[in-house]
Amino acid sequence: MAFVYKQLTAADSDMVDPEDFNTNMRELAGEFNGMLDRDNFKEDQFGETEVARYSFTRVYSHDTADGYTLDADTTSFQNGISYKEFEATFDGILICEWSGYVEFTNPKSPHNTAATTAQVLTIQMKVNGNIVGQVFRVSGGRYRVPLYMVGAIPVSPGRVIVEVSAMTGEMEHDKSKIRARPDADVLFYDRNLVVTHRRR
Amino acid sequence: MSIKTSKIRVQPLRGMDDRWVAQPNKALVIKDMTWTPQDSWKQSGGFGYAVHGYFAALVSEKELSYTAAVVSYRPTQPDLPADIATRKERDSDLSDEVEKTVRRTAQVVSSTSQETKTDETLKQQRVDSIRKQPLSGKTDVESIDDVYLNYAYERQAEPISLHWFSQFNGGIQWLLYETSDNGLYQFYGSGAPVTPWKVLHYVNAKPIDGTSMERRVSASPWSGTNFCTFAGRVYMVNGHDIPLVFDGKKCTRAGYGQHAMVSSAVVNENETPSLDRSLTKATTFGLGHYAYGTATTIDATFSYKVTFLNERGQESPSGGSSTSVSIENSTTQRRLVTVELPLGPEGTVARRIYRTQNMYDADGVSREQGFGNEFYSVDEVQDNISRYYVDVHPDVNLGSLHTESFYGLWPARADRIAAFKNTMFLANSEESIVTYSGARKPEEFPRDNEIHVGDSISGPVTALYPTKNSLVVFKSRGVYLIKGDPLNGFFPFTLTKDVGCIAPKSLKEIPGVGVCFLAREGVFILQGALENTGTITGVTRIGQPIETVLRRINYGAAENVRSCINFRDREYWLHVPVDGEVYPNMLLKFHYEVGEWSISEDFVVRDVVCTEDHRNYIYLACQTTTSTNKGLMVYRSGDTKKGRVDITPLYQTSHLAVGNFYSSFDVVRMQVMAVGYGDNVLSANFVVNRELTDAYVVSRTSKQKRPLEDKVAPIYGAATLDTTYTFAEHRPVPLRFDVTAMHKGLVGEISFTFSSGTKRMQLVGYQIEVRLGAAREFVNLTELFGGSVFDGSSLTR
Repeated sequence: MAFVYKQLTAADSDMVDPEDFNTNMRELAGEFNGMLDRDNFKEDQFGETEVARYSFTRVYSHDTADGYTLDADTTSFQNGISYKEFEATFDGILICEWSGYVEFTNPKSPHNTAATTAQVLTIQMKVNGNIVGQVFRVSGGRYRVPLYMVGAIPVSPGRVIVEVSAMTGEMEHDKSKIRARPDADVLFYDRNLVVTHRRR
Repeated sequence: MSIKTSKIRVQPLRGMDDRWVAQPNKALVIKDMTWTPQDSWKQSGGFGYAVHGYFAALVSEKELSYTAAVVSYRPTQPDLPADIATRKERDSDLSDEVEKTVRRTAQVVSSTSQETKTDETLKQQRVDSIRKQPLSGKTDVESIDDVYLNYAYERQAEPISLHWFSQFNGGIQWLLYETSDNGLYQFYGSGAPVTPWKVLHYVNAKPIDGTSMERRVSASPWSGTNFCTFAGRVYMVNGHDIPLVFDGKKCTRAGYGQHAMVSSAVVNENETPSLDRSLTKATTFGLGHYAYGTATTIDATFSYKVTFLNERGQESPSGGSSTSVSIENSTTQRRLVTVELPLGPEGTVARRIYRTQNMYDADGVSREQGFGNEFYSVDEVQDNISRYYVDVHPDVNLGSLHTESFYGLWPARADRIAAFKNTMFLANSEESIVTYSGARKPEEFPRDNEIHVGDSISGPVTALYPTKNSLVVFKSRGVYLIKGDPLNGFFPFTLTKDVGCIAPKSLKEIPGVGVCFLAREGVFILQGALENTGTITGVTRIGQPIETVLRRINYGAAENVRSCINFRDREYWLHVPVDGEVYPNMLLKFHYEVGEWSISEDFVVRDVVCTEDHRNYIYLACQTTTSTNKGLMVYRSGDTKKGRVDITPLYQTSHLAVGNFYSSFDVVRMQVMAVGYGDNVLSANFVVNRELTDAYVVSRTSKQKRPLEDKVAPIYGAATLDTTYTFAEHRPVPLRFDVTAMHKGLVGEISFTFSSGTKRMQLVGYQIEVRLGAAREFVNLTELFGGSVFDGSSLTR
């Protein structure tokens, strides 16, 4: 209902008081800064050409088809799976999505009797050091596994670093921790990191 | 030697008081004025169309379609304005010459439109060519708009009800209204000026436009649809139509008006061809017990119930249980049961299935008597399409117990509605029962949730109003409070049985003061904390000062009374039908900051609402009368018309008696302290001794400015906004009126009338100079200045 009305109509022979103008201008001024709505703009009133770039969101990405090898003995998180660094210019929320697939070079499966223990892989996504998404202990029971994770976190203007890291190894018998399994690297393919910075 | 006079100053000015003897600073009549926080009375605003007019020649037929989707301006081949006659009828000033001009203009426009041009170019050309036409014959025309405007609401039926609400903490606002052709619409500003509305649709996509679906309209006095906002949705009840709930997208039925039909349940059997029951038994799941011991089979019996759910999660009551279904299990396998599900009405999005536990225990002994009516949750089918459900749940996998008494139908004929403490309350105008929902379940009305309020002799329930810690129930003769909460229950108590509310929509709460309402005995206010806090809770009559006006109300049409709070001007507006009218035609204004009344005539409305956002606009639903046009109107403080009628502010003081009743005086001068608006005049006149006619045939006038200081002040229509003039300021100035009542003889009482025609006026106070006091005794000149005096004594000498 941002449909405003002139509140004062001066008549001829009235004395000119600036308040006559200000009264009406205040009525309009009250609608600025976020008060306009569907009573002012129809559906489909604006196309993308009328909206300034980055008015609502800004998207960053790190997309590569190159392979990446995670050494078999990486039992603590190693960065470098995907990485994006940028300067956030407005306050908002960051929605991070990562996808890709991995190949276990020596999966433990009925078709591969060479592997004696199950290999696991954990991937995590961090924004300025805060974990926003994690794929926890993917089992290397298959040769090729697709992966996806998503997370969101509010961010303030400033430097933003989004990085994806991973670790791998084989499970201890009591499943309490991971130990190195030197015979099986993990290969990453089609790593795709999409970061959507949505204005608050 | 000057005449000795006394000056009497009357200030501050107060509101109407038509009692025989009122305070001097009161008024006998105040029309079209409003009290200002600067303690003065100024001309009030008026109202006009809520959207501006448009050029018919520039609008396509599609746009003019009543309910078509709104499209952008797309000029097409224009016809001659078909509504010239209509506009002439509305605007009698539209001369024939102007009409010819308009027609000629349209022809020019028509010829230009034959060329192939872009829409925008074409539109601009049309506007330009129209504006270039001379408008001879109507000298006061400033723009083409004055003679060539159509208004959208001329194409729509009269609005008869209004409701404003907002969602998302005011982020989205809605103005809903019903029309006299049974439609239900929303105000849609983006469609202005051609189609500033959108029709609301029912959940089945039918428009509620009076044709596909319709809303009740009554020519009899009727409070109409009552609205209530709950959880960001608005509920609408009127006692005749199905109760609606509008969620911002569509309308659906509120609650359920029917029970879920009894479902049938059968044992899965392969030989039943109509159903796909290929799975008839199972080893790891199924109903009932396995047979054990020496028995090779064991029986089990169940009953089912089904309920409906709408998209707001509101559940219907069940329509009773199915007939019992019996199965026979073996030692290794248990049977399955297929339930035939009833389909819910439109708006149903899921169905819940309930079942008894096995009505035989493990020993095969019946326990139907004790547990046959206990139904437990089986499953929820999240659609309103599936017809069959195969039940495989053993008793141990059943959910919680379903308590039937927690559910109930939406009460029929409910036309009073209020939300209080997360609970919906309903009543109707035919009974003394108030029904309430479960907490946070505004559409589920348990059958036992009823409160009998008052008795039948105190009349029907006229209104429900939640305020403070109570729900106030108004009956036509009685006011009751419902207190309590959903957890501990609600209970009523009587506040008064002496006075009640006769106009459901006269109820409005004055901020910080109380709830105003119209009773048969006048206007009352319910004050107090409605609690035992030491503050007296009571009903106070506030309408005495305008008793003669209240007597003019057509109380038989009290259901048509409407009200609102004018937050901008701090007024309680009560629209009442007077002098035998059915619909409200007079506005009574209670200026609640000073507790004073004024009136405004020819304020013909069907409904009125004030937006409760930061704008606080007042929208009015108007019908076609001699003083108003139909359509949605908006009140503006600077508007000089109320529909078709001019705003003509008038302040008539009370009858001022100087001295005692038997003394007389003579008025010689009167000075008004008024805000100096410029060259437009303030008129003054007076009556003496309560005569019916003014003392002067022609009122005395004075320009509203200081003659000397404001001589070169800038004036609209003459001043130019360059360095020639500087801005002036509207501030109080004394205006002098030399008057006399010598032609009226001895003056016992005097009452002044101030007006300014249709121009601005703001009164701060006034002062009169009078000659009064006892008449001096006759004094002989020879006694005063010397000489012989005949006193009779010489005769004795």
